[in-house]
Amino acid sequence: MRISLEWLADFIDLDLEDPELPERLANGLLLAGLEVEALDRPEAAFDGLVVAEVLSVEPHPNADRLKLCRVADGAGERAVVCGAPNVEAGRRVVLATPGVRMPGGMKVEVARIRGEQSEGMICSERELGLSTDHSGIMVLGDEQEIGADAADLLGLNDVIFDISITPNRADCLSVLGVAREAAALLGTSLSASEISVQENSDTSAASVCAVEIWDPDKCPRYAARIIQGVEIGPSPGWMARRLRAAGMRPINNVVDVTNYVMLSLGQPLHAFDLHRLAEHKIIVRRWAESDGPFTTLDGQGRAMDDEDLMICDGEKPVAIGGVMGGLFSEVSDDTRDILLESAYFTPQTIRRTRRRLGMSTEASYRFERGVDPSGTVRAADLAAELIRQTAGGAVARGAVDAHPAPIAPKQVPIRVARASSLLGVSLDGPRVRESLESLGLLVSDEEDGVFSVEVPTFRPDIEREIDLIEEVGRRVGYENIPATLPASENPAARPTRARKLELQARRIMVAGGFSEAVNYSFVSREALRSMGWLDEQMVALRNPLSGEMDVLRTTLLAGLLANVAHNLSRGVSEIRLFELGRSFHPVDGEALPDQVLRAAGVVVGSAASQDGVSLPGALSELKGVLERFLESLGLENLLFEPVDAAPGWDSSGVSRICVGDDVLGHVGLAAPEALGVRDIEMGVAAFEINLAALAEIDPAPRRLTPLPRYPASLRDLAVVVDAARTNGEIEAIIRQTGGEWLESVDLFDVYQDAALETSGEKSLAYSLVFRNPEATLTDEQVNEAFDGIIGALGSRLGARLRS
Amino acid sequence: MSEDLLVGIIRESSGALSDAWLARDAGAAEEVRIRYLGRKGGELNEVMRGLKDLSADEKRIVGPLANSVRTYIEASVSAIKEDDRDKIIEAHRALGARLRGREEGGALGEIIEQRASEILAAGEDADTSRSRLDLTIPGRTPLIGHEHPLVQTMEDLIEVLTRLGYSVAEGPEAELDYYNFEALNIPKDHPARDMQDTFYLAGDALLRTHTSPVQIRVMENQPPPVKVIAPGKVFRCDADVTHSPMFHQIEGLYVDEGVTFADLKGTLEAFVREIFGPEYRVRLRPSFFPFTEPSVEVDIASDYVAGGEWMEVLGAGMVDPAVFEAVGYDPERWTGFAWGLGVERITMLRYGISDIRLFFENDLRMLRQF
Repeated sequence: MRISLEWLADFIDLDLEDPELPERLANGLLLAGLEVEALDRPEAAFDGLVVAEVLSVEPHPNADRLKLCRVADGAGERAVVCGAPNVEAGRRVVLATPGVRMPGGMKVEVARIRGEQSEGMICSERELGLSTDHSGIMVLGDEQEIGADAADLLGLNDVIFDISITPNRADCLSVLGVAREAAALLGTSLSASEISVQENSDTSAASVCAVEIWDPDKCPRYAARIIQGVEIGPSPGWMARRLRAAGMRPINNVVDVTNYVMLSLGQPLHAFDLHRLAEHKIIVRRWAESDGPFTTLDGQGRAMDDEDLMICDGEKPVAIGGVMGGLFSEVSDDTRDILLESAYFTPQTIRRTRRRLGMSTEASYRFERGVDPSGTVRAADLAAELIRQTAGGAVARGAVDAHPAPIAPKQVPIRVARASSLLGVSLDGPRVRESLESLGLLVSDEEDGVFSVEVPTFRPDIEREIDLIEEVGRRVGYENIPATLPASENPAARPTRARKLELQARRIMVAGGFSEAVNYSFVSREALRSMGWLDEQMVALRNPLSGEMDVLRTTLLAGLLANVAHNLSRGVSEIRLFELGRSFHPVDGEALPDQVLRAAGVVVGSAASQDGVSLPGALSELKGVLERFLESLGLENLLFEPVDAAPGWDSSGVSRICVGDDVLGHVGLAAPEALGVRDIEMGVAAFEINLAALAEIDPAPRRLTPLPRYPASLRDLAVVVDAARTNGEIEAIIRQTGGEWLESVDLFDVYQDAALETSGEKSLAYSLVFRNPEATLTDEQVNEAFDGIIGALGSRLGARLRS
Repeated sequence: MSEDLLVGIIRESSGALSDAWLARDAGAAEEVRIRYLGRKGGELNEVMRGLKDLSADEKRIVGPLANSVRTYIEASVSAIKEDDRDKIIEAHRALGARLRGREEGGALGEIIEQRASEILAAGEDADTSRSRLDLTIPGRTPLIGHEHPLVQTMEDLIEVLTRLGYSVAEGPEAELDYYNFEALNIPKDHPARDMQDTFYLAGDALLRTHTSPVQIRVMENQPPPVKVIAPGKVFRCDADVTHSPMFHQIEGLYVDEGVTFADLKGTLEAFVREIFGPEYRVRLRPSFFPFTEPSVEVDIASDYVAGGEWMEVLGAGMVDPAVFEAVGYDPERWTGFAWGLGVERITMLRYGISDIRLFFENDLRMLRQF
C-alpha cells in the first residue's frame, strides 16, 4: 500500500515542513506493525519551480521549431527558449528557474540556445515526473497565482510510504486506516472529516432505482447512489496525481473517483452506467445456470458457479460481486447517468470466487480481508460529491441502502491482570484504557479489573481478549516490555535413535572423505523412471513448479546422480557425496505417503584399487565406508547378499544389504540407463540404506574382548573355486568350520590368470588367525582346524588348494 | 684367554654404547656401565681380578689395555648422560689409537674408529635435518569430507537450543492440511493462506509450508509443559535468487504455566546473541501469524555488519489460544511462545552467500569450502 504523506495530512494534523517527520513517522509505523518497506522522497530539488505567465511568444531567429518567450514569474520577467507547440501568450505554465534540479538529475541553468539567452525552462508533465505526457508543456488553470510555488501546488514534494500490510489489518488498506495508526502514534486524533454531499437534484435515488438482496449471507449490505447528467472526462490534476502516487493509473473522472475513495476510505466502489441496467434495478444473488458465462470488463469470458455472488440488473448479471465489473455495464465516454455501488460482501464469499477464478483485484483484495460494513454509505456520499465536483451532474436525493443483515460492533472484554500477566509487564487500568482508546476503540468503565470494549466495525480483526491484549502491547511498545528468561526445569530429552543414527552416519561418512549433499525432496518423474521406478510407486505434486520437480523422490540416488552429473560437467571428477534424507512412497488407503529416512552415497573416479582385491576402486571405497558405518552400529548378522537384478542398479554388480532377514538397502553400481539420461559417462558406485529400519534394530551390547595373552597362529589359505562362487560363501564356510579358535578371516587376494579363466575358476586367498585365549596353540591343533576348513571347502564348494 | 675376553668386551660394549648414544638413552648407557664395571660381577672387573693369575708378560699387555677399556667405557657413559658429542668421539678416538698400535688389534681399532665416525655423521645428520625443516611445506591431509553448510548451521542452532533445554522433535514433510493450516488457526477461506504458496499432493495432503505443524503433533501427543524444537525441510512454490522451493526452518515451542511475552523477548535475545554474537541488538516489531498472538518479526543489527542495518531473521509470537484449543490445552492455564527461523537465510548471512540455489547444486567446489 502506497500512502502519500500529503494525503495523510487530510486526516491528521501533520507539520509537513518538518524535515524529520517522514523518518519519524516511518519508524513509528514500523514499530506499530505497519512495515514501511520504502520511503520514496522526491529525488529532485524543486526550490525555484514557480507558476509563471507567458507574456509573449516570438519565433527563434536561428531555429524553426524553437520560440523565444517572455514570461512573468512573479518576481520579474525572463527570456525563455521553448520548443513546445502549445506555448501561447497568456497561458499559466510551470517554470523551472536556474538552480532547480529536475527528476532524472538535470540541473536547470542559464544557457544560450542557438545564440539566444534562456533563463529557465517551461516544463512538460513528463519533465516534472508527473506523467509520460511530453506532447507539450503543462498548462495550468488561470486561477493559479503567478509566482506561487509550483512544487507545492503539484504535490511534487510529497513523500510516499510504501507499507506492507499484514492480512489481519484490512483497516490499514486505506489512507484513513494508516492515519488512524499515525494519530495514535503521534498522540493526536483524526481530524473530524464529516462528509457532506450536495444533493443538487430534485429526484430521489429511490425513485430512479431499486436494490434487492436475495442472499444477505453473502451480501449483508448494498448501498446505491444516483448521479445524473455527468460529463466523462479526465480527472483534475490533484486527483490524478494522488492516484499515480498510490500506483494507480487515472482513467476518467468517474472511475478515478471510485478508486480515489477506495484508497482514501478503504471501501471499494463500482460505477455502473445506469442505462445499461435493465429496469434500473440491482439484484444481488447467486449465479444461476441460465446466466451462462460472464464477460468481465477486461474482456475475459469467465465460467461461474452457483456459489459465486453476482450483481444483476432486472435481467442478467452485470458484475461479479466484489471482484470485477462486467464489460457491458461499464462506464464509457457516452455515459450520462450513473449508479454508484458501495457494498459489503462477506470475506469468505469473495475469497472463494476470486480464488476459483485465479484473479485478484484491488476490490477483492479488500473485501476478502474485510471492509467496514458501517462505511458503505459514507463512501458512497464522498464519491457522489466528488463526481459532482469533477464530472458535474446532479446527485439524486438519498442513497438506496439495502441493509438486510446489519453487522453490529462487537463487545469484547479484557482483563487488566490477564494483559499484564501475558505480556509480562505491569499495567494498570488507565494504561489499558488509554491504549485502546487511542486506536478508536470504545472502552467501558472498569469493573472488577475488566473492561468491556466496543470494537468499531472497521476493526474486524479484533474479536477476542487476546486481540485486545495485542493492541495494548503494540501501544505500550515492544521495546518497553522487559526481557526475562523463563525459569525452566525441563532438561532436554535424549535424541531419538533415528537422529543418533543420522548423526553417526554423517560423522563416519565425512571422516571417510564423503561430502554432504542436500537435494530437493522432489525430482522429475523421468529421472525416477530411468531408475526403474513405476509411476504408481511415486507421489505426484498437483501443482509442480516445473516438470523437473513433479514427483517426490523415492530414492536419494536420483538427486545424488544429478549432483554427479553437475560436478562432472564442472570439471570435478573425483566425487564422493552422501545424503541423509527422506524418500516418499504412496500407501494404499493412507492420506500421507510413507516417509522413510535414508542414507545414500555415491563415488565416482576413485583411483584403481591397489590391494589386489578385485572390486572396482570406487565401489571398494564406497563399500568400505558403508561397512565402517554399519560395523559401528554393532549389528549382528549383517550380510551383503548378491542379487541378480534390482531396479536402478547394474545387474552385474548389486548386492542387498541385510541384517538377518531384513533387507535394508542396496550397494553396487548404478544402472547404465540411469546414468545415460544424465549424460554420465563414468561408472558410479552407490549405496542406499533405510536408516529408519536400521534404527528399529537393537544393537548387540558392546563388551570388551579381553586382550590376548597368548600368541596367535597365522595361516594363509589360497583356494581355487568356480568363478561364480562368492567371497561371502567361502568366508561363511571358513567361519562355520574353523573351530572355536579361529579369530579372524581376511580376504587379501582375488586372482584369475589365463589358465584359471579358461577353466572357469578363480583363486581367493585369506589370511586366517587362530588363537586360544587360554593357552598357546600347538601346531597340531591349528593344523587340525585348518584341515577341517579345507575339507569343508572341498566337499561343499568343490574348492581345491592353490598349488 | 684374557686378551680374547677383552676384545669381546670392546666389541660388545662399543656397539651398545653407540646405540645408546644414537638413541640418547642414558638408561641404556648405565646398563652398559653396570654390565662391565659393576661392583658385583662387572665383566671388566672380572678380567682385572684375573690379572694376578697371568704371566708377567701377559700382565704387561692386558693390564694397560684393560685400563684403556675402563676409561673408554666410563668416558662414553658419562658423555651419553651429558649428551656431549665431543667427549664420546674423543673416547672412541683414544681407544682406537691405543688399539691400532697392536698387531692383532688393528681390525678392532678400525671398528672403534668407525664407530666414532658414525657417531659424528649421525650427529651431523640430526643437526642438518633440524636446521633444514621447511614447515611452509603443506602437510599430508587425510581425505575427509565436508558437512553441508546448511546442516552445519542447523546443527549449531540445535546445539545452542538443546543447551537452553529444548528437545528435538520431528514431523513429516508431506503433511495433512489439518496440521499445516487448520489446527494452526488458518481456515480454508483465510487470506493468510496466501502468505504461503503451497505445493499440494493428492487429497488433503500437501508439502508442509513451515515447521509449525510439528507443534501441533507434539502437543497432541503430550501434556504440557512442552519445550521442543523442530528442525526440517519446508516447501513453497517460489523460486528465485532468494527463494527456493525447498528450504529449512527451525521452529521452537515453549508452553508452560505463566510464560509471558517478556520471556519470549528474553529468550530471543539470548538466542540471537548465542548464534550471531553478543554485539547484536534485537528489535521486536508487531507482525501477524495466524497461530500466534501477539506476533512479532525479529530484526537484528550489529554495528559491524551491513552498516548497522536491521536484518529480519525470525518470526515469533505467543501461541494463539485457538491453537491450544485445537490440541486440547486449556488456554487460561497454559501460555507459551513459538518462533521459527529460516536456516538458509542465516547461513547466507553467516557466510556471505547471495544465491540460495548454490545450496542445492551440491557442487563439490562449494561444499569443500565448509
